[in-house]
Amino acid sequence: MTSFFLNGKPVTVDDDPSTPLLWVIRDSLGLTGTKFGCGMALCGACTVHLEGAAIRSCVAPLARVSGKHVTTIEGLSADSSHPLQRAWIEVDVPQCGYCQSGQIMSAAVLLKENPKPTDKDIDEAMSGNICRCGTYSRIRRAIHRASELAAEKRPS
Amino acid sequence: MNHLYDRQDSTTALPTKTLRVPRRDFLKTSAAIGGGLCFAAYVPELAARPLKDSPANDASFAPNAFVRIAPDDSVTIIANHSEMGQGIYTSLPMLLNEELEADWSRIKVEAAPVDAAYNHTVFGLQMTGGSTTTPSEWERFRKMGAMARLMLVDAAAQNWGVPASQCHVEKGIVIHSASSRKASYGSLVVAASQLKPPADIPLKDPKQFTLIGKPTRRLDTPSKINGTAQFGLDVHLPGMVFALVARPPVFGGKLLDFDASEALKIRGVRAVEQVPSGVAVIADRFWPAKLGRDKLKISWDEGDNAKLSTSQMLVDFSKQSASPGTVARKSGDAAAALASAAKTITAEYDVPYLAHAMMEPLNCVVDLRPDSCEIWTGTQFETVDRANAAQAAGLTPEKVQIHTTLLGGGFGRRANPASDFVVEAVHVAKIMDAHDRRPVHRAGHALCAIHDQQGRRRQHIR
Repeated sequence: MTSFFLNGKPVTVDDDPSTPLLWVIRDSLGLTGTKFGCGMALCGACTVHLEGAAIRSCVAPLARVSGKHVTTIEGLSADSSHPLQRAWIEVDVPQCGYCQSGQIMSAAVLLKENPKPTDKDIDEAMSGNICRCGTYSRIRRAIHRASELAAEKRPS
Repeated sequence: MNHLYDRQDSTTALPTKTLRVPRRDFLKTSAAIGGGLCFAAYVPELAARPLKDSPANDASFAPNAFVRIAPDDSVTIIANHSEMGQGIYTSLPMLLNEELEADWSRIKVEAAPVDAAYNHTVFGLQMTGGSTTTPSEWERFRKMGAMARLMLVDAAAQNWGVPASQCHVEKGIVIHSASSRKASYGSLVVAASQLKPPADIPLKDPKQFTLIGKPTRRLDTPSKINGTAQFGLDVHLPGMVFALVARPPVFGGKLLDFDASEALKIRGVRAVEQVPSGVAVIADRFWPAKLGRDKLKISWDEGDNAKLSTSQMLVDFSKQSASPGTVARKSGDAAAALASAAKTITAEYDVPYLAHAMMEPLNCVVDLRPDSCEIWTGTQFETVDRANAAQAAGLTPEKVQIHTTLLGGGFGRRANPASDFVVEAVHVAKIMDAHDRRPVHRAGHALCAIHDQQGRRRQHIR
């Protein structure tokens, strides 16, 4: 049995501790917003937060998250109100959408660490997230927009 | 309400062969509701009818196979093409609602079942590809929207005892200005369902367009930023098991022998069986299936393609490029011009092999029962997949239904003439049906998912 916090709630699973977190989240706990793309930490579709840091859940064994806090796209906000989600809608970023959970989760960590990223900061931080449809320019624009939205929310 | 007409049996073989409409009827119908060449190139009256077995609530108004209006004013547009990122779950509703004039905020999209009514207007089978969705549906979707609007306006006009020509529509509300009367589409569904579709369905002059040509946000974006969008891989059914297939590392290779003893020791692995495409590892979840497949010991006959290499192919192509080819167009005398040129420049270009690799690995969920087969997958080729799945399952095509999910990319890979990823899942389901009688299958059916893609498989197996 392994216990951890998923989107703020305590969960316990009986998967083998070597099972990648991705499959625990998707198959055992039923949250399918986190995607399986490559299974080798190459595409970024499975990106989630572990204690606030972006990790590739497809190669993170369940044992690694024991007792810790994991956040998935479903837990980013309760009502799609995170600045990134609002910006993603405003800019109409996704095409097929399959990579977008991972893109948003990576961008969330970037904005937390760097509230006003430059194009270069964005390109560097997002380089591990692949989009086969090629939505990169809109992703960049939406991250800038989310940065503005987040700044509006913060008291000056 | 969706029983205006009985649907013609439209479920046998490829739809190009189901064109059995008497010529006179065909011409008549084409003249009545057709018009453009595209529209007349398939069986138009099928589309103009609601599906007999459509999932519509009986209280809804379903004037044709492409739109349903519910008493709560919500409008469901049935998309017969797959959403794989190109945006047609927004552009098709735009076409239809340009004429329907419902409240855009009440529009929902639903994937069409497999039926000849949903065949591509030019290619004659249900499919998505070649950047053809919007041009091929340009007229049909507008006609279907206009048909619904005309009937709803007629229903209101009849209720009020006024000429329909004195009524107009604003955001799903029929208005008779002279008497200040208003009725929402939702309030008219019962009355409209009693009416016959109009024989003449005029369309707007493009100058009057209010939706087409205007920047419009995608309808699917909200679901794609919070994890709720359902791709094929996200379909989880109660009692479902997961399978991964080890296939030959080379196209055309054959299975010689395999040893599953180590794979079967993995907790969660239920069975390892040969299928036509390779060796299937069936497990409770994806991960044990993957671990089990890694543990398989397989000997393959890699066949003639084992020695094929990219570098040799490039050498062969280069040689071929120097020999005369088939003339596509001849204009002027290039050979003479080159011979007399003061200077000629020669260059050779090559591009890498194009992998139609999507972000979402190919996958398919099958619920196989003795007399039916239900399939969930992200596909671009419904008609063909159904025919191939039926053959693999030993059923007739009308016993097979496909639920098209969102596609995590398509790029043509999901329009496969052999329906490889669908047929393989059916074969695994057949094994489960015959082989596994453990409690989870006591309902007498088998569910399975195949998750795979070429590149990954190669690395796992070799």
